[in-house]
Amino acid sequence: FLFPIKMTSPRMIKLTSNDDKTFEVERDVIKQSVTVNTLITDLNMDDEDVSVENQMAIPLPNVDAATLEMVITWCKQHREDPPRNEEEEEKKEKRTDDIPEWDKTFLDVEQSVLFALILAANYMDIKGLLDNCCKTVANMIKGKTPDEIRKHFNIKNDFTPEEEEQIRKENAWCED
Amino acid sequence: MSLQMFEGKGRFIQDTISFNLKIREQMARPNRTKFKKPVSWYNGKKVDKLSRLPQDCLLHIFTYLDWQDLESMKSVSQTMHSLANFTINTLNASRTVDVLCISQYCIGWGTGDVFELYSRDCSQQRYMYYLEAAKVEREGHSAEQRMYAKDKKLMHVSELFEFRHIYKGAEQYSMLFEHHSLPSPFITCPAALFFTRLEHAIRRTSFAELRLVNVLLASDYLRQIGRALEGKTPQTIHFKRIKNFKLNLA
Repeated sequence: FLFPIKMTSPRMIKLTSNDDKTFEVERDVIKQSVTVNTLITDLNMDDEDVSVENQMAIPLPNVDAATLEMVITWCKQHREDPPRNEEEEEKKEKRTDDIPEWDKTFLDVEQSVLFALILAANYMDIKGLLDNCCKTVANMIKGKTPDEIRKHFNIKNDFTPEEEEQIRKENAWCED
Repeated sequence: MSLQMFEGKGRFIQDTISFNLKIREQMARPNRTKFKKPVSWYNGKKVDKLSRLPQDCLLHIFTYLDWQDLESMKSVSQTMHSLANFTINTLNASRTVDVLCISQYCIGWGTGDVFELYSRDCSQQRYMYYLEAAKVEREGHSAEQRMYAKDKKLMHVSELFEFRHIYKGAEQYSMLFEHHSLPSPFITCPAALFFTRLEHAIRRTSFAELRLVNVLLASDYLRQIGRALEGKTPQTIHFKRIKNFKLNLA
């Protein structure tokens, strides 16, 4: 009555960054990316008969290796997260003080990296990562004056003096 | 083709060839110095990466900002102005806050028939308006809330008190707010602008409840508030300590 126990290793998926670096990632980990998930389903890549070696790598032309590595790390950390209910998320109050501690540390990077992560999360359609990145940027903006925002993000003031005066008048009433 | 055309250019051609050779030699060396990217490529602070984000990403970020931060964003640059405006006009229109509490307090009067109103958004504990309006009536202030102060100095108190004092020969009243000192500098505006501003605020957000507290305005002005709220009547409106008003909600 002894049946051979089939040891199933986790299903792996190959992802290739725009600088031709290939990453192998567990199927369960990368399911958080709606883009990758859709591709896997559409290309029938869930077929168990195909080994990882023979599997086609999914190209991610908008994501570089360093960013993809970070995205995978984030997905690994959040693999156990309950699935998001988008309707409930929409109804929820838009808060920025609810970023988990791990994410806060993870996203404490220089701006170029943070923006690359936003672009990657947007392209790969990873809602949780995109939300937390955007909340981090929103926190950088909150409470700052226009000048401070310009300085923080190195944004050029491209208003003409007349436009600036007009905006100043419009905003005068709501200044503290 | 005349050889004169190349006169004086031989040196230039020679230099170009030697330069190319130097580059080739450099490239052939195994331990050649790697091409260094400009600092701006690495350091996000040197490059405006925020403005270069796709609009949908920027709008996503803007949904986490309250309208005061969006107002700040409007003054940053042309791109931010248009996107912040878009967010204010569209996204915030569907955002409902539980309570929009506009408390208006009389800060001082005694100069003719003009008094000053100050209000703050209680839901966010942020000051919203400071304005002056025609003094119409001064009823509704309970005696126990009155305190007398002989000088103009405003005190920071934990309870809401009204101060009455003599200033330039006229009796004046001042109000202080719980845990808040008065903002400085004051921004004043004509009374009529209050209604424009109320409409302005209402355009930015919808709200379930409106509280107008300690408003000392004539019925005519209150009718204007009604008109300002036209089409966006909150579910409940609380008016406290306002007498003899007839609100005409269209």
